[in-house]
Amino acid sequence: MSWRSLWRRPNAIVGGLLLLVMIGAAIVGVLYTPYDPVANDLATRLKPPSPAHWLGTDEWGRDVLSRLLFGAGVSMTISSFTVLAAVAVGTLLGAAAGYFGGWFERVAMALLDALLAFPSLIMALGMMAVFGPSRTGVIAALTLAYMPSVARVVRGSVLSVREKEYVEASRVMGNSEPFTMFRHVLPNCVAPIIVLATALFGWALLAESALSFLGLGVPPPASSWGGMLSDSRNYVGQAPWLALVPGISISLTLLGINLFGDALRDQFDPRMKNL
Amino acid sequence: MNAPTLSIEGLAVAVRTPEGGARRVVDDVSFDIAPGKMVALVGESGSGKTMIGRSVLKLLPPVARTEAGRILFKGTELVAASDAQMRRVRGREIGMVFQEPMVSLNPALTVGFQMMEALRLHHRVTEAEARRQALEMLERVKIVDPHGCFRAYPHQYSGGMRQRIMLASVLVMRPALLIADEPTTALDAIIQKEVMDIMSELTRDIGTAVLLVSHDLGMVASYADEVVMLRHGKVVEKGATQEILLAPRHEYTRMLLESLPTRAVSGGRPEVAGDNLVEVDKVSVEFRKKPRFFWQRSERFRAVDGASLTLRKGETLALVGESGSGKTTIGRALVRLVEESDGRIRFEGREVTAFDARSLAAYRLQTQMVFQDPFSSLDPRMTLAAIVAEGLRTLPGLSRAERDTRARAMLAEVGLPGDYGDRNPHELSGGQRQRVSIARAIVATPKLLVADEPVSALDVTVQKQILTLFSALQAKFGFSYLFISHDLGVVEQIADRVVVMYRGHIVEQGTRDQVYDSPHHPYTLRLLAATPRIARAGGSGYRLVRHEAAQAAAPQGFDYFSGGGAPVMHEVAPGHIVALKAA
Repeated sequence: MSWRSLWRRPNAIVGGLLLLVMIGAAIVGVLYTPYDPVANDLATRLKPPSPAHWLGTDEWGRDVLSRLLFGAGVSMTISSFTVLAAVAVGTLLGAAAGYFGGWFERVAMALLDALLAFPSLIMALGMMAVFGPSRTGVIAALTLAYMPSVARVVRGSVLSVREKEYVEASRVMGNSEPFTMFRHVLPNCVAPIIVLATALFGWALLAESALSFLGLGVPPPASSWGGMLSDSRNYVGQAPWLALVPGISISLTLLGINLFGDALRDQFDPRMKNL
Repeated sequence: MNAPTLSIEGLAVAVRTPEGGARRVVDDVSFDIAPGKMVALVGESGSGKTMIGRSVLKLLPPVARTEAGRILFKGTELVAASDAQMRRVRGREIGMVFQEPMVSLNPALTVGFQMMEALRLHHRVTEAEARRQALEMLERVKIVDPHGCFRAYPHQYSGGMRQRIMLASVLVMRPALLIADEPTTALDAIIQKEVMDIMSELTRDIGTAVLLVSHDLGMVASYADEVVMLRHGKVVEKGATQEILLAPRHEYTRMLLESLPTRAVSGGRPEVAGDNLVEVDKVSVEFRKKPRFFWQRSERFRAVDGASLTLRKGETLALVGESGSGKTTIGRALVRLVEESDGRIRFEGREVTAFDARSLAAYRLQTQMVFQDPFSSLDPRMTLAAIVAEGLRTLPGLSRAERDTRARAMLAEVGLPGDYGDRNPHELSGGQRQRVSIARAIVATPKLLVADEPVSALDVTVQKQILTLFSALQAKFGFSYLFISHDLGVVEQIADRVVVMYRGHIVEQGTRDQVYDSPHHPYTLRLLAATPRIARAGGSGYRLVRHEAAQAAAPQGFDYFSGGGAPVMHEVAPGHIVALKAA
């Protein structure tokens, strides 16, 4: 399973390129933006795209391209950290519950089910109300909201892989339980985890925008894609680029992530090696 | 002679390949089935036998397509028939029984509903009439309580019972043709015989022609009127069963028959037995059934009940019995996948139960297991060399490179030399995978090898190769071998001694010749009688052997043990022990 053969998959190439562009934009946004993304200039408010402002300006006269580049960093960091944290915690909990079973499973699963029973956005709202709006707050809230579904999915696939004869074979060979779990059980559960992680990334982007929309996300005037999208709603008729620019950016990022995730899942599965 | 019910002429089926081409899996196959006759399609996996059965009903998988030929059912052409025409034929005129009884009935509907559904759809009878016919058919397949069964759900019945219900619900339509695809392969020998007996009797009565798809030559020889022998999608030979299977002309048929397990090859060597390696002393294994509500106490269920046996150094001991008899559980207790709840297991005189973590690790290097299912016993993500090398992981003082070298050497030893070590399991056939499983088990040269049905998922020719490999490896490495199987033919070929289990108890044990030639316990007799075999009969001919040993009377004052209480073990000859209970 080499990384080189990953680049023979069209999904990986297209998805990887899209992601590269988005990550590049995020890095550029940190280092350089054509205008100050938070500087108001009421003389140039709601201007359509022009040579001076490639993507136009918003209702405060701020340069949309600058805000987009700056927001790329904010949105991508929040989404990636959320996904990473939710997958890490959820996988550990779910795998331990599925593999060891017993009272640990019962307690862990009961708690996770209770978390799942809460609408995740409401829970995130509640947490933000307590912690106040901040980036780390958003990440923590969304992690807690998404982690239970990861744990559920992982536990489910661990339960099915656990019954395979190669897991018993590993025990008969004298391998310890943690070794068996990390060597034989978890690697065979990677496919659903990757699929879920790519979906989560999209949900996290959207949830971040929903939180920003409600004023509980990234505090203004700093920009995020979700925030830009929600700010645009009053001007869709006069200035459609305000909605289109962040909307298309979010869609393209999701497309890239999903394509790349599919390619990764196939790459990790030796049965798909020659496809 | 009557016009044939089904007439297949020059049938060809092709399957699309991933490269975009097409490969013929059935090529120029022709045969007829007369009303009331049973024709068997016989061949190894990949011979196209299932494809032929499915093409008659036009239920081919999406990648397969009928390319040429005609299928005439009662004079009607089916290959070109429309979907609407096929729907009228399926179920009403042609019934089908599948291999897997556990999934071929809808678990959410009662048996009665499923039986009446088709009757009312196709025959347009009243509900009362449908009920009457369904009940009558349940009675004829010898369901104990037809009325109760009518209202019951499929999960309340065992596999054999479900296959009878399936048969009843198909035959209640009085179809002109029944397609039975490996109908008894998933069942135990005794139940297999019961289902086949019912099937052949009923279809003869109704006048249904049967297309039997099977790989079991013994069963085909006992039930089918005619045989069509297939290989790689082509007809090798066809004709009356007597001629094809008992006096084969074609080389391939002969090769198949030669691959059937026979007694003389190896096994039955009481002289190899050395000191005791394993002593199983009155061992019981209990499982808890999960209670329905968490406050209830869990029920206990004894899978093994007070079983005692010994395994000597260098010998092959076979554990036989039906599913649920506890034979697998004993094997799993030996490799410590389950713990006994009572009794003792001693390995080289030391008590296994008392081992601490360290001696357990040492013990595990000496006992290994080969699993039944070659498709789930190898981690799909690892290369073969890595899979085998893992067997050496707990052996101290070996570098990674040394482990890899030894793993590759062992792969070569089991017939997978060269670059096989770099492949993944999915690139191998079932037989090759089983070789990897064996290599992994013996790479650390254990003293005991537990094999749980290691060849039951394989074709007879592959089965023969694996059994030969086992014997060769045993001669070379000298391990003792606990062979768990329901297949009495295979056991007869390789076992030195045989232990018969029935519902958690050992009912008979002895040398292979004692158990096969003078069985005492009625269960052993039934087991032997239910396994028809094809054996060589001088010259180039074969004969169908049905075991019909006379029942030896139990000693004065005793009956043969058949459950309930503790058995009395009685030695009828040196080393030949039978379970009795006081009369």
